[in-house]
Amino acid sequence: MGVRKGSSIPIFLQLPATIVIWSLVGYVLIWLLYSIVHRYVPGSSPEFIGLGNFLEMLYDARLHSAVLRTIYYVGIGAFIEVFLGMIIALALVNYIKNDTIRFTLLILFITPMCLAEAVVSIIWLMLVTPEGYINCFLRYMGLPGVGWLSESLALTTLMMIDVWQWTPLPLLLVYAARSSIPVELYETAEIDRLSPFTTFRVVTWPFIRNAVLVSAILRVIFMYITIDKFIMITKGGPGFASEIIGYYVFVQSFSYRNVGYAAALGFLTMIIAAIITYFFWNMLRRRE
Amino acid sequence: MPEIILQNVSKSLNGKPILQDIDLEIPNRSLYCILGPPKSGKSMLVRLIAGLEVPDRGKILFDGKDVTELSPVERKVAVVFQDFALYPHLTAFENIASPLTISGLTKDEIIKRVEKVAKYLKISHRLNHYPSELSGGELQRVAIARALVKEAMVLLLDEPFVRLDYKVREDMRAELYRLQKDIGINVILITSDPLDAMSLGDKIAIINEGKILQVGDRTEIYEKPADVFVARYFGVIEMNFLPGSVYKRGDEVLLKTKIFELRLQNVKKLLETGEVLIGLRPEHLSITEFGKFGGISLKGKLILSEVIGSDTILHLDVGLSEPLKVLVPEIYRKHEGTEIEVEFNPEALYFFSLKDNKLIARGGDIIG
Amino acid sequence: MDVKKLLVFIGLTIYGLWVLAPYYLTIITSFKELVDVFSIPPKIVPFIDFKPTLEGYQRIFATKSGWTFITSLITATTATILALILGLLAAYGFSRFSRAPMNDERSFFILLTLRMLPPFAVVLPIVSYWVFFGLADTFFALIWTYTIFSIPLTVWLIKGFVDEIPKSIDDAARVDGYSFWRMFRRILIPLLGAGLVATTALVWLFLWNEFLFALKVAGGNVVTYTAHLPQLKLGQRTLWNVFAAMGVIGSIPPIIILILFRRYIIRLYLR
Repeated sequence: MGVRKGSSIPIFLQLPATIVIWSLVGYVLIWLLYSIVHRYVPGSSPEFIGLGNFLEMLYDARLHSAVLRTIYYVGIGAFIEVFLGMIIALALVNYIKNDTIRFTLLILFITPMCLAEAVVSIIWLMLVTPEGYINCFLRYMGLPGVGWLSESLALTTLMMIDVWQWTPLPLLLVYAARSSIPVELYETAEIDRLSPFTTFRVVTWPFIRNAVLVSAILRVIFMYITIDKFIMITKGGPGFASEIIGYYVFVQSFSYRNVGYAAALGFLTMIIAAIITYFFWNMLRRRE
Repeated sequence: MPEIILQNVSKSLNGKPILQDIDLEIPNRSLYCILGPPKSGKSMLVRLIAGLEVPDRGKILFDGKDVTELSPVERKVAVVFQDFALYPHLTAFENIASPLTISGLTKDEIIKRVEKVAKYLKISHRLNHYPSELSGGELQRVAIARALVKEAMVLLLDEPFVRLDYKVREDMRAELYRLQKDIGINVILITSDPLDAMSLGDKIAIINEGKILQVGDRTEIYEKPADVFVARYFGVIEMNFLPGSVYKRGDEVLLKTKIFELRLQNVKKLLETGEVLIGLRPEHLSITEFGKFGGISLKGKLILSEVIGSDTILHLDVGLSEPLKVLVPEIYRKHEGTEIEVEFNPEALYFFSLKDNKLIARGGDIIG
Repeated sequence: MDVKKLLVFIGLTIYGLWVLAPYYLTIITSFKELVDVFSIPPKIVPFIDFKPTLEGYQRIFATKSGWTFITSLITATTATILALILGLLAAYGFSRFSRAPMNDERSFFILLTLRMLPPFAVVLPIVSYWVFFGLADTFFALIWTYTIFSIPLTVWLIKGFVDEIPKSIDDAARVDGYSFWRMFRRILIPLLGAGLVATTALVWLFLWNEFLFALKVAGGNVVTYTAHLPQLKLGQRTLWNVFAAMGVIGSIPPIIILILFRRYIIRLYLR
């Protein structure tokens, strides 16, 4: 690019960011590697146990339940968000012809994902708490209140809150993708008298496929790693009813201070996240 | 307006060699053309002469002074880029003034100089506009103005006409020619269009695959191309090629091709090789309909006629593996399938060795 | 009007109400007196069902709760600016010097994966790091942490913008005699203009909304408005109107940014 070979400019450009980042990240990596192979609990000094932490995971029933809950929460939640987002995006593009209305609706629909999860948590807490608005309405209509945060429903309620907040992401991505499809393709489909399903499969889907996949990856990853709602609303409860993996790691880290085990768990979650990303990335690569 | 010498210049990128052992002598105050197909290394050559890159090996000298390690500003070069590279967020005026803003000139001096150059390039009326508002030709002029305003000694143009349309291109060629003669600055023009080189270059260097194939003026290269590649590349339209063999028959030496025969003399080098490649330029063939002059005649069926500008290119099937191209300097329309007779002067033939593709002789050297 | 269209309109309306209702309820709650909050029949029309009051907001500004917004502002803004500067330099390197050491694709990839680390897995070591240096629960610690996690985002976004500027412009500046930094200042940054603004908004928004690090790396003396929210939830005696008011105020910057940047957001997502 016109800079002499061996010029130091490229390195100077990267140095500040690199120094700042590694001043902390280096410690974190070393800490993690150390803690993973030690038994490190409050009150005693760390003890080397090799892969003992991972062995413990195999017998940790609480962990296993958390894994199942995570699969439920993330699997179904992300699916609903992507599906719903896609439907609404397509509805907006296909059925709202007035640009101003469409744009206003779009902006309105996007607002939930711009707010802090903590704020969304309190918004919904006021609705789903036992004495909250939803139950007030129900009781006003003569119906019994629902235990939204009870053992059986807590996790599902949290999932619905996530759906409320994050459906706009797939919505936005699919909306953008759908908007880029040339009108002529649809006109041709109409001339060829294709059914709506075929039109979707042949014209729409190839264009929105990437948006759907990307938003799916993003939502899966972020539902997996974000525990704000869990800290704010249920604290994993009642009991452990809404404890997903991330929250379990949090509890091990800060409530039990079971440092070694928490580090090992954290490490495991990172591996899982990497695998999921890799899996989705490949799906994206194929047929790009 | 220095004499520029490149000695043994080589450059690789990512392990791939782009230029290999380039030796070039660019006389001062000349309009020098470097002509080559895409990916021949000519853009890198521009960057090296300009000082935007440093060669891996070799030296670059301006009037004897080694400038290899110097920056573009220190070398006093100016560059006009293929995509003009004008700053989109500045007006034409500010773009032109840009090189002067670091030179310590006063504001008034800068304004004077910019206006002077703008007037010379006939864009004074567009100085307040932004690049997005200017036409291709105007952008070109602003780019040249920016280059000239700092009174550089060398002006490098990297495929400057590629983004212009046909008519504007012709105007700009004339403009550039006038400019160079007026100011006397060293102009080095990089292009892949042989027409640019043919109409502009005092001296022309043909480059391909990182090596200089030939240097000369347009007549030299046209009449005595170094090899088949140069002959094919440097012409109005691509040359016709056909194989031939040279052999002895008693005292005589003959050339035999599929469509004609010739007697030759002074052919030592040709006899050594035996098989040759014959080249014949489309512009050296004429239609006998307009008058015969006694050359070798060929007959063929018309396959295709292309009208380009005010000329016509005829594609004739004369029995060779490829049609023979004939350039007719007017608009000539005939039905496909018409028999057409053409003739050419054998002195115009080019003889190339099949071994190394190099030119052995012209017809005029060896016709008996 | 055919059935399909009608169904779609009904569906969109339901979705729209579903999105709007919680906002509405939160906003009116912020203007209620505590007794009016959860009553049966639900009081949802101001002036008719209940008398609006500023009690919730007053409590915020009378106590330290109000200051949490200032804390959020300081930490988010400072970290954004730092991440922007550091990210801009690195992004230029990745874009223009992709063959130079530390600027290549592999380094870029490593930088991006940083972003994908689950915060809950790294909070503890980060907290212990700051405790070790005696800087736990300080502005410095939170801002530094925020900066580090924002850099991958700024680099990724800005690199995309730099890639769109033709390299010949860099060359032209060099031929014009510009020093590297002058080129950066006079040519690169103005041309990046809109892209830098959009990146700033996005990064700042994320930090304004951040919760976990604010809670654990800080949370005692240095409290952002998000970290303050759990402190307001007191079981039976939760001050719902204060809660709602905090939420309303905390939502103002995101809404403003959304409105200001509505066109950019669409374009950014198209990347």
